[in-house]
Amino acid sequence: MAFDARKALYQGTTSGGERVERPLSPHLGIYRFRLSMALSIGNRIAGVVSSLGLVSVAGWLGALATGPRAFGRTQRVMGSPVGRAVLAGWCVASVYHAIAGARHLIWDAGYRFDRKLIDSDGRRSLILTAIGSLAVLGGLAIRAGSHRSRCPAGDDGALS
Amino acid sequence: MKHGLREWKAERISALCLAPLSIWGVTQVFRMTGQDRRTALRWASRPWNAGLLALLLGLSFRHAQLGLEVVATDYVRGKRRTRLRLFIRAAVLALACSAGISILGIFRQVKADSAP
Repeated sequence: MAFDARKALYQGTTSGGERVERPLSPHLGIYRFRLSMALSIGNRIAGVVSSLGLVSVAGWLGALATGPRAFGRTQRVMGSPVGRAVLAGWCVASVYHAIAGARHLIWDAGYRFDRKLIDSDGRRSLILTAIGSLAVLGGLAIRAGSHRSRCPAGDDGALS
Repeated sequence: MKHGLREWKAERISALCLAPLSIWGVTQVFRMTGQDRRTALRWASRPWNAGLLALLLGLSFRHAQLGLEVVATDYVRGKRRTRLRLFIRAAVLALACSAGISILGIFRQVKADSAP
């Protein structure tokens, strides 16, 4: 590893007066990168993102309960390019969190916990996330597109 | 019972229940995509849909609260941790109440509309 400034603070002397380096407890920079650590923190981040997405669900329901104007406004916000990008990100995060959560439940039950399986399942979970997200987002895009061509003037607050 | 075990269990039980409910939720989003407001209102006022939606959202909010509090507990210390955890609880509770009121509101609104 490269020079670590903290090492300056870990100089000590033995009872015989000899200078020694005190042991340094392991910290983030000392570990070799492994897929599992990225997937683990990724699952946390995905969980937080999924939670934030619940705000939009509550907002959409609130608009539906309020009236046509509020609903139309919410639909326009969610259907805008930024809204769609946010919802797509939420979808990917939720799909990944669900897959990683299923892995956690399997580990809790005592299965698939040795290193080789953790590595191969980790790669599989990424592939599954990509397939699942593409299936959901692609399906929704096709449905929204086919609706728009059926009623092009759909300004009645159609879900886009 | 050891401290925290209840939350640990609640997080996993809610996760197990959320698996089938989320699949139902995705199918409903597919059904509702491209539909207008009246169709969405009619959908939300069917008792089964309203019930499952309430269950899905209730469990989602509980699961989110537990997970967010774990994150707060792991990365924030002292007074800020307590404040952040209280904020998480208050925010999740407020959102859950808002969603519940909306579901009930839609239910009553549509029932009143369809009454002769």
